[in-house]
Amino acid sequence: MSLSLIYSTFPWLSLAIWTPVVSGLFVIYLGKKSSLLSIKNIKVLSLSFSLICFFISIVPVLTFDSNIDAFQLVEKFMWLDRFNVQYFFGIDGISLWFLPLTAFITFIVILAGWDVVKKEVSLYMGSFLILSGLMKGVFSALDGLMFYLFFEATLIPMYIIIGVWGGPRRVYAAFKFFLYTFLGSVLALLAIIYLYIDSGSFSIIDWHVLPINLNIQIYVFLAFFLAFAVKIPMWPVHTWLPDAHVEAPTGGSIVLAAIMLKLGAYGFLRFSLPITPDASQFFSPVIIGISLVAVIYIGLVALVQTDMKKLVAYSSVAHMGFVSLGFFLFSILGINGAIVQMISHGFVSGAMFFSIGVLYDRMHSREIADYGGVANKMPIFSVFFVFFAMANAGLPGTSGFVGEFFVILAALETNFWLGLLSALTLILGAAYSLWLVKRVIFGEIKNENVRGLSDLNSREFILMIFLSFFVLLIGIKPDLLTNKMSVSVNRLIDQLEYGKDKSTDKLSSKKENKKVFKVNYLSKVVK
Amino acid sequence: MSTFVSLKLNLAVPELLLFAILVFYLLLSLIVKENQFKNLNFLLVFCLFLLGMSQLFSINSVEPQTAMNGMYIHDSISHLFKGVSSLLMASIFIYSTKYLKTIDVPNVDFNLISLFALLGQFIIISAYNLLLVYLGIELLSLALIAAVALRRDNNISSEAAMKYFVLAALASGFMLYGMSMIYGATGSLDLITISDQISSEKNNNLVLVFGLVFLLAGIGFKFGAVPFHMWVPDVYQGSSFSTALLLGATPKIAAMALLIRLLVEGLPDLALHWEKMILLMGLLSIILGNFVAIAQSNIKRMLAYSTISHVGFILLGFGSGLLNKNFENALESFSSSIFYVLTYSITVLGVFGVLLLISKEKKDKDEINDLKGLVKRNPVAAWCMVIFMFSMAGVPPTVGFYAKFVILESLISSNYFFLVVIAALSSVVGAFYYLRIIKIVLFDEEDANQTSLSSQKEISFFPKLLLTSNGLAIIVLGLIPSLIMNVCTNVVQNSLTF
Repeated sequence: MSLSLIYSTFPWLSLAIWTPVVSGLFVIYLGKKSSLLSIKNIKVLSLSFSLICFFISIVPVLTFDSNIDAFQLVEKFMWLDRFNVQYFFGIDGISLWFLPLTAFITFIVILAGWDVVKKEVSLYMGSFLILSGLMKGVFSALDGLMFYLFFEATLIPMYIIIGVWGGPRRVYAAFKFFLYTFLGSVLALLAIIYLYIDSGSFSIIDWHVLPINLNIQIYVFLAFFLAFAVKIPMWPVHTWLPDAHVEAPTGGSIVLAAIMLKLGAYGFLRFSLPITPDASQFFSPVIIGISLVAVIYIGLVALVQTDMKKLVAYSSVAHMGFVSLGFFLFSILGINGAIVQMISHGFVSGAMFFSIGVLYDRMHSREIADYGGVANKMPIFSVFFVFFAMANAGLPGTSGFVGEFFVILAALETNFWLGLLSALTLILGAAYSLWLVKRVIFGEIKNENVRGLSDLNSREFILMIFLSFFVLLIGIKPDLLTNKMSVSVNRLIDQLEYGKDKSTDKLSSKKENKKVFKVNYLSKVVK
Repeated sequence: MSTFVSLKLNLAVPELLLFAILVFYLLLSLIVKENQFKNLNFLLVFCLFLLGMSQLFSINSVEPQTAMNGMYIHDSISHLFKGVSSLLMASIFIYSTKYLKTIDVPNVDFNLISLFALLGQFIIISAYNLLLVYLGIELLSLALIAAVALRRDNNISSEAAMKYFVLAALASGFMLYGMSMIYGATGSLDLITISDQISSEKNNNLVLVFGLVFLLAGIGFKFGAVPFHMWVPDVYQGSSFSTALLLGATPKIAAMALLIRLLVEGLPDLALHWEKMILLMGLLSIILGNFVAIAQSNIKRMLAYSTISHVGFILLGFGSGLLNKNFENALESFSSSIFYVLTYSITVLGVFGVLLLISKEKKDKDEINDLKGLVKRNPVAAWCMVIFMFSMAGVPPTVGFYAKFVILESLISSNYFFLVVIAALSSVVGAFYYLRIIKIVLFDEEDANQTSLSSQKEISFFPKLLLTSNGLAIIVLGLIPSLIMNVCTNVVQNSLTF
């Protein structure tokens, strides 16, 4: 359970976080002074910024030493001394992959909005750049308040993205999105403040070793749970997601599904499980139950959707149910599987929403009934669409399979019936994905508009290639991901098994032991 | 006790300077030709700016000292509050110059009345004697009432002024009654003597608490806290935007000073009693303010209710630190509360600043829907409005988040879990109506016949500069909150000792 910090000689993480934010602001500023740059140039500029950010975000992956159990590339200095808030960033195996994922998805989004966005182009591009920086901040913050700041700040650009470029009911969707998340996270703020008062520090690493008895853990857990469950989203607080997805512009949907949902899941890994391990054990049956409801019931709901975006949105809820299921099985396999599932879902759902965006740009309809026989007119597109739908269903060889397979295995190890129920996802996922493919891609051309469709242009083709490359890569070589994560995941499991609640020992000597342990541990951390 | 030795007028320099400015402005406004008023106002703003800055820059080098036989106190808190009030007042003048012209209110009238209000605030901030407190309150109230009534041809304004006058008189009466009770029990009007008396002798506690309740009713009225909030929405609605800003921004600072002077310095031994009343007022204000604001379609009324909810936060923060009369812990919560007041006044200044700068008709466009599509017509004002609204809702990275954060922190550290959950949930409710403004400003399309808002080009340079820096300040302070958070902490530690 030892844990140390490896300081970085160069502020790579700060660079990864603030470059997109600053460049986003710069793009917006240039856009307002429209005389300076044409819209085309603004797009090119944003795209090159997003590429630069992507390359910066790869650096942590390259320099990451997967053999050491430590937070790496750490940057730490005092930021708000009255409350002992630190400017404190660092990554471990768990958060490592989300940085390049975020940057990559931002690149995809900017390219996806290339010809599609006509209104306020610079604001659109800038918002996504800023948003990506903020999300990277969430993934690499090691200070509780910093985490919360970034977690909340992501609401602002997303609210604007949905509200300005969204569909007809965009205002409703934007409000629902904002208020649901805000409600959840405000309570998490209370938990964060409580932990600060208890420990005298906002450092998440200090909180990991802070002894808390079970009663309090339960409250803290519930507060965090509400915030993260809304964000993931778990049944029954998932209802904002379909609305947000349907109304958001394509880029918004991609970011929402590919990364924003992961913020909640990541919160579980960084906060709930290690800080309140006993409460997590205590609540695990409930959460496993909720996750199964998400997997099965929401899977069934997805089956009956008539709107493509809604269908994929519900399938996202089902897939994220798998993620939370994997977390709360408390096994190495389960957590590894869940993280792989998170990253894979980032690519697959992003690709699905992008594909739907491609169709929508041509037909201006998301109703499944309006389509049919698209394969006749868009053969290349259809190949990709079928491929991504298969990945969504968890076809072996695609990234979708790996995570689900791990989690199902972990579930089977825990309990046969649990495994059986969770394996239903393979059937349900296949059912809604294949049925979608059947109704949209195959069959006769029923709608005259479909006859006028043109196939992918080169920009869309390149995006599809990128996305399918990663989907295949993770499907074939998941070790690439898991190798880097394993040490950190093992440590997380140790923390969970060790637990924190020693309140059953009434003897004072034991309490002192606990204190000694804490001091030792803290001294190690300081080293 | 020789009067002349302890008069120490040099400590009261801010009041004297302000009074001098006021008198000179009054006289000059009679001499100067109308087309030179612009320069005169510029001079006034400049003087106020200098006054405020000189106060702020000398914050840390102040030893608490009393003057005028202990009637007047001069300490870090007074420096901070006076400095900020002067700067706010200067900003109000900059924002409202053009607006006053459009609603046909003479600029000089408004400025003079505002200066009197500011003088009243200065006196409240430094008052260390019940009579002086009362004097300051009356000066402030009368000036504000006059400011509400400035639009003489407007029925709603007159009605609001009348309402405000009657209720303010009632509140003053309450306060005076409470003061006389306290005087009766302790035999003194000096706060320091009162505090010594209460702690040294067994006084008639019943009389003191009785007086305290009336005193608190008066303070609650000044703050506009529930259940003394009824006047706030009506008076806001009846006022012009500039008067509403005058009511909303600076008197909160004076009211904060009232809390500190009267309760913390004057009646610390009754903390057990007043802390509960303050917390209850705070809780009710947060709940009522946030829930009722949702239903408003008039932006002035909405902002009035939002003020009530913010006042709730201020009071909760103020009352939260006093467990078991332990004032050392309470210092933190006092400074949190001061931090909230300061950030709130900056934010509300900006909100009204936007409204002042964009209105260009005699009749106020004060329905929320009048702001539709502002971003097309006036992007700078619209984005500033967005920043202010996020700050009011308490969303990072704006400074409003830290304001809420420090209050929640001090509530949790005093184990008021019930209060903190209610406060947090109500702030989610509050987020709704702030988001609605953002939605109207950013997402809605302009109505076809809507030409009543000023475009960016119609705003002159200084107001625009002020507005932009006001918006930037909200963000910058949100990124580096220690800039003023440390000031608040230091000021409280310098001034209050136990």
